[in-house]
Parts: sequence; C-alpha cells; structure tokens
Amino acid sequence: MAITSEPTRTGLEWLTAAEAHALFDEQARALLGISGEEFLQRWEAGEYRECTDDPDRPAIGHLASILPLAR
Amino acid sequence: LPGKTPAEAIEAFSAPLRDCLACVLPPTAVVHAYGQKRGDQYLLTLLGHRGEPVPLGGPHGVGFRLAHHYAVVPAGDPDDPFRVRSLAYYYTITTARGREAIAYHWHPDSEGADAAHYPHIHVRSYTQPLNLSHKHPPTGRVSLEAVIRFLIDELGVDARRPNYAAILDQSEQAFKDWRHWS
Repeated sequence: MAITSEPTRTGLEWLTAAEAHALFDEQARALLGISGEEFLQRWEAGEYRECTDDPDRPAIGHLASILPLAR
Repeated sequence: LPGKTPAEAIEAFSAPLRDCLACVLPPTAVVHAYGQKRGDQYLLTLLGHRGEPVPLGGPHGVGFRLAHHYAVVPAGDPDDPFRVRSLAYYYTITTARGREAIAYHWHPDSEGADAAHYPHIHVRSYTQPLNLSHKHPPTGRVSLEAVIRFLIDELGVDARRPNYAAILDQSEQAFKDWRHWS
C-alpha cells in the first residue's frame, strides 16, 4: 500500500434536473442500451420489479439505486 | 450532524464522507448531489463514466461506486433545527473488469419485489458448494468509512492521505454518534 499526498476532500457537484436526467440517461444507455426515460417508464410499469436485486442483472440494481436522478 | 439550515445540515453530512472518499479517490473524482422535489429527498452518488465504476487501482484493480439516499428532517434542537436522516445506501466494489464483487446494501423502502429490506451484503464470488450469489447475508448497518478502510487495508487500494486511518476513525465515530435509522 503506497501513500501519496492528494486533495483532502473529494469535490461535490450539485446537479440541476436536466443534468441529473442526462447523467441517468448516459448510464442507462451504456448499461442497457435504452434511454433513461424508457428505463423509467419500464420501471414504473413494473417490468423490473422482480430483478432489482438480481445478481444476474446488475445493471437493473445499479440504475434502481440512482433512480432519483431520473425523476 | 445538525445544522442551522437544510443546506448546512447537508454540508455537515456530506463533507466528512467526502473527506473519507478522498482517502482513495483520484483528485479528479467528483461526487454528484441531487435533490428530489418529492419529500425533500436527496441523492449523493459516485459514478464512473458510461456506467463503469470509478477505478481505484491497487493490486486487484478494483472499482467503486456508491449511492446514498437521504432526507433533511427536523433535529429537535432550536439552535440547529435540521439534520440528515439516511434512507438507503448502495456501496459497490467491483473487479478490474467492472463486474460487481461485493455490494453493501440497505434499502428498506425499495420498490423491488425481490429486494431484501434489511442491511445485507451481496457476495458475487465463487463459494462452491454453497451458492451465495443470489442470497442476502445480513449485516449491521455498514458505514462508508468501514468500506473504505476495507478497500485500503485488505484490498490494497492506495491510500491517498497519509493519515487516512485517523480520518476514517473520526468520521466513523461521528456516524455512530449521530446515526438514525429511518
């Protein structure tokens, strides 16, 4: 384990609603190939209700964990 | 930790966590914060690019991401009337290829029908003959500080601050002193 000198606090960036939606969209497109809006629609339709904790579909759980970004 | 305003309470909550994250994150890393209009709920999250975790390096090349949900609630103290109440956490350690290796979860209000609502851990590693990959071994509530300590001390992630142990200990003590379950 090496020890180096770095900044003492990780930066914080507050997102606007548009920025949050864009960030969620980026994650959904990269992981599932669908838009953030489409993921949200499917989520609210209950399509993912049985696989939020499914290790075989980790992208669903990850997107569920950051769902507030999409709303 | 309480504050005189909601913004002050949020800063009192997030600043120590960001001090701890700076023990392992590259200086270019940024934590994102977002406030949800409904119910004054907030999200603090660390995300890599395009769905990838944030690489931490070390001999195993592990990655990390987190999501922490919280709300600002009355503190019951006229001098510092606001504090943060945690609502859920998701701390994920990945392999060098980005595959989830260990995940610490607490999401008592999850909308998922398959979700465990108690604090638990996901172990994706090979544990034959007992397959734990779809199980939810219970844990106590796990602090972010404890996860970062594990990353440094046991997974060999480089500590970016020489006094990381004291930083983590101090922040974790505040977590223990002020924690509230939702």
